[in-house]
Amino acid sequence: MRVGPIPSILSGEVNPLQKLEEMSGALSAGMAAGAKGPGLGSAGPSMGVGGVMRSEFSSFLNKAVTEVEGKMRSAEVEKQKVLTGETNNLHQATIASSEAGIAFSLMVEVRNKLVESYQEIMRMQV
Amino acid sequence: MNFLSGIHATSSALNAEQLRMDIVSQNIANAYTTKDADAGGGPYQRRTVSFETIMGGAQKAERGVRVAGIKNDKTPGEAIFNPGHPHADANGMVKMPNVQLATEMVDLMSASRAYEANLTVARNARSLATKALSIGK
Repeated sequence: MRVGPIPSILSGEVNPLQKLEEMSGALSAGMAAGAKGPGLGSAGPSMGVGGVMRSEFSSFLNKAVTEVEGKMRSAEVEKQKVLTGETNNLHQATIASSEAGIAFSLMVEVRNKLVESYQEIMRMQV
Repeated sequence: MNFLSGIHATSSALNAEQLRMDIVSQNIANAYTTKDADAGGGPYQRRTVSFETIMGGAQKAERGVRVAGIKNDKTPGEAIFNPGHPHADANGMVKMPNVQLATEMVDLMSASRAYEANLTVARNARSLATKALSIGK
């Protein structure tokens, strides 16, 4: 979506309000397309838009949590190996635990971003 | 998911350098050992480590490093006159190992510096990933 070049808006050739209307139309069409997108077909027709969003978000979050947990578990295994003297690869344990830490902060960051967007929408004036 | 890019190569290099340091400490420990079964019953021969690349990691093109082999350094050590030594020959000469402590210390320094360099690479990868996470803030 391109709002014409600024000179053409300033010279009155293009009506910026009309362009805005076009933009909002395209936006809502995109949202409708998104709601019908893949992965959401399983949701029954009785389920509203809110329900659809919730199921998708929870599955996404579940996947992220599982992945982070896997990383943490492997870090734990590496640490255990070093502590019990099975290996002396201190660096592998540290690398695994720092990878787990980064995965965890990525998950937290994504969650923060989503909550932030939600709050932004809730603040919107109707 | 692989957050720390190039960590496979770095990790294998850390392993390899650790082994190199172990071999240096073995050489230093045996600097005065006059009997070594692996070296044909003669004096201890210093071991040297050689590296080679291996493929692996998340991207298969990533080249790590591994120890290709540990070889005996065959250069003869000096022989000293010590008739009272249990391993002295008929002339009272004892063949000493070919370990030069100064050489070993330099090897140890270079191995530990290489280890530190790889640690710095790992730390850098970690701090880059952490910084990339702060884009959204």
